[in-house]
Amino acid sequence: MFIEHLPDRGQAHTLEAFVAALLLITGLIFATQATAVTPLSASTSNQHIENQGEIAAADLLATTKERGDLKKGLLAWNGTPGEFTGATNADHFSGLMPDPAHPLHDPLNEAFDSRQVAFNIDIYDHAEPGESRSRQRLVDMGEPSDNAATASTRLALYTDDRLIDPEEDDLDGPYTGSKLGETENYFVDGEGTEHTLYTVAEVRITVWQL
Amino acid sequence: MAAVSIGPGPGSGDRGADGTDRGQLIIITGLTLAVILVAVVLLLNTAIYTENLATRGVDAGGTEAAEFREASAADVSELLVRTNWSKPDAVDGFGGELDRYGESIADHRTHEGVIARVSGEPTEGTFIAQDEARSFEPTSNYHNGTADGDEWTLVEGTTRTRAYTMDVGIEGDSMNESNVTSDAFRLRVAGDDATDWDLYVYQPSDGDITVRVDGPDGTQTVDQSGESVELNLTAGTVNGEPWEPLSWAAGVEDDADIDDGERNEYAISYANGDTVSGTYEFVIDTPDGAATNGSDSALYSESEDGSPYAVESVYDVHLELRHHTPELRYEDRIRVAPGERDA
Repeated sequence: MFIEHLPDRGQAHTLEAFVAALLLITGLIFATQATAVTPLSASTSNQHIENQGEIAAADLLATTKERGDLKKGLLAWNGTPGEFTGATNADHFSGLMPDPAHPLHDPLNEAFDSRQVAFNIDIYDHAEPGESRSRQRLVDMGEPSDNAATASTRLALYTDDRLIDPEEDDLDGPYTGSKLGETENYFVDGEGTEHTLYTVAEVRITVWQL
Repeated sequence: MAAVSIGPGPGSGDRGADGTDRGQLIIITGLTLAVILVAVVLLLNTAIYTENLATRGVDAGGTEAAEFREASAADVSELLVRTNWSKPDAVDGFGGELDRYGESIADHRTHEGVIARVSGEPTEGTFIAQDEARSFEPTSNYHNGTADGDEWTLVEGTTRTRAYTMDVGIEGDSMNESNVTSDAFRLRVAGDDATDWDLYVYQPSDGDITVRVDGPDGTQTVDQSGESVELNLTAGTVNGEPWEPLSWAAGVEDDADIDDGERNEYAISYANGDTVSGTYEFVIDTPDGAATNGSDSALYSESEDGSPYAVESVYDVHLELRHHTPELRYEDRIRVAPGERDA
């Protein structure tokens, strides 16, 4: 092999090296654009979406609890067949409540359903340490994805709270349903009317992107 | 590449050693540059990722602990009000209810790895109310039965009052402004060494209902139209609207942060109760105070239709809260007294 030595040869080599480097970088850029998922790239498994889902779920619980809608949602129970009033799947809902008068219809629709976010709502009875808590589904939209977020709140129910029927009752007026303390088959067990506190239930929302 | 030519040329024998090394050098330089650049890219990427992680929030659970405090206070407050309404032995009953509430909360929180504890000590008080709309006299034959004239004392020796609501309508004629202090309905809060705090409700000649307060800031009045006026004395509202001068027992009752023992005692009395009618209710922090210490101990024991009554009640509760997570230990003591002046 033979290489000529000319006065301008060094400059050419430098240029060649830069061209080689540029080629490599272009290749790298192309590769990253084609495959990699960085924490900032948008997808249904994005960490930010998870965080936002959790905050939205916690906020929904806080606001509906404050306004009393969450409690009304729990009290919309029909004792005779033992199901939530207007249930669409066995004793619970398979999605957003179809009845617009349901106290949880509007908040859930606005926060999740209209944004293509799926949600499950479960209600847990309290249990002694070591025992598992019994669960009652309120909304079941299926198995959550791996990137689901959850939020929970605890709600005190009283023995003189009355069951409501969102389809029939005037929710702004006095309720006529039976008192919790006198209801036989409410989904969580509690005390009779000789006590004030019926029980404390935990409401848990799981949300995930569809 | 024109600069690099491969193959034998003139004089190759002289410079052969130098020329063969040069091509390899160029390749090595190119690769080294590439490696350096990749390293730079990786470093930058890591920096971006770290920054992203760092901004994801380093909340040790402070929000959760604060929410726990708020939720416990709200729940206990509601439990207290409901127990007072429904239990004959409110203090013992409330203790039991609060214990069950604390246990339930603790059970729930344990499933999320939080050690939570809510416990508290209720203060015994007295609930005094007139539920049926009638004149603000203790009994219907009050004027005939006592020599006290038209003033009567509801409670004495109390230090705090909460949730004082009153629905007042006017009975009888409109009143000349000059006779108000002598003839109009008056609620007086009188302490041992303080200026009295007075509230008058009367109908001036124009037909409205006037509420007048004589307190440390002098005399202030507000007119309300309608048949009756709804006062929340401890919340300071007239017909649901806040009215600044209506500050319960201003100058007589001590501020809430003075706790136990050292507080000023005062008495609550009504005068000219026959000029108004309606309902009222309030809770004082003295156990059975009215029935035993009042000027007329028979006031609340005489069971007459619609007459005011006094029952045992929970005034407030001192809560001890604990919320322990692996990251944060939060403990607090709070006092829950729904409907107190400063609450």
